[in-house]
Amino acid sequence: MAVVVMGLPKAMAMMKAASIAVINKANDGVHEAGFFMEGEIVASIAGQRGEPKSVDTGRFKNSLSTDNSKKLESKVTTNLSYAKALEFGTSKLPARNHFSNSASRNKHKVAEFIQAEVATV
Amino acid sequence: MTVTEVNNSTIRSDTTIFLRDRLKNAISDPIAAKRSASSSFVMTSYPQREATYPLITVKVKNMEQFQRMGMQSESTSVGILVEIRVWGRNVKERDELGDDVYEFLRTAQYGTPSTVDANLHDFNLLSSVLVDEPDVKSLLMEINYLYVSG
Repeated sequence: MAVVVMGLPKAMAMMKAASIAVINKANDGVHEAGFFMEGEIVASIAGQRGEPKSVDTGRFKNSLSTDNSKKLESKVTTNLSYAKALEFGTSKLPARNHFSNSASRNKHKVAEFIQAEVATV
Repeated sequence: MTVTEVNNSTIRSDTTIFLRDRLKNAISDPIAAKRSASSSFVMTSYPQREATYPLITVKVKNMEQFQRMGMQSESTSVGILVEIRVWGRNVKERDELGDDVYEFLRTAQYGTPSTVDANLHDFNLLSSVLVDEPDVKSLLMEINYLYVSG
């Protein structure tokens, strides 16, 4: 007696397609979360969250950008030289933690963006 | 006030004071002979007293609950994010003190007294960021400990 498994290649192809779709959707979620985080950090710099306002000329606030060029990665960055001093503080300036506090506050929100996208597969 | 272990009701302050005191005992102050009585080598951030460089500041930056320890349990596992910042007068001093701090914390996990005995588990250096100013060079280390409350 022989057992014949039918449709195995088709099932495997379907599973592969599904996993690609999940990864693509997760990627969309990560990139959406990146833009959301940029907005949150801008709000923090503008004094609309818990941190002190860091706006004088608006240069720091307007310098943020989100890099979504890599798959499953989103980077919110600034190229201003004094951003590090504002974020971590110096011997004369207390740390303002716009980036790290925004990240801590919104960790669950970022996960929700990814979950919501993956759920649409 | 001496803290020998971290307790549930005083997690933040116990962690800060415990690490401050251990670092104070373990790390040599490069200007111990010259340091004034109103200044201290290792302090909690942000110090109200006179700041004379080099110095080390310790603060609990964040606490995060990872999980409850089971159904119907009030015990939790908590991540404690500690910021230890080394402030030096030059790059060499900052780097040497930073290395001393890391080496001490890495090797103080077990033995007597140890951070594990003080209920601070899973030592993990998450990042080291350099913040340079004209006169002061600082190294900001973020360290995570696991604490089980309850």
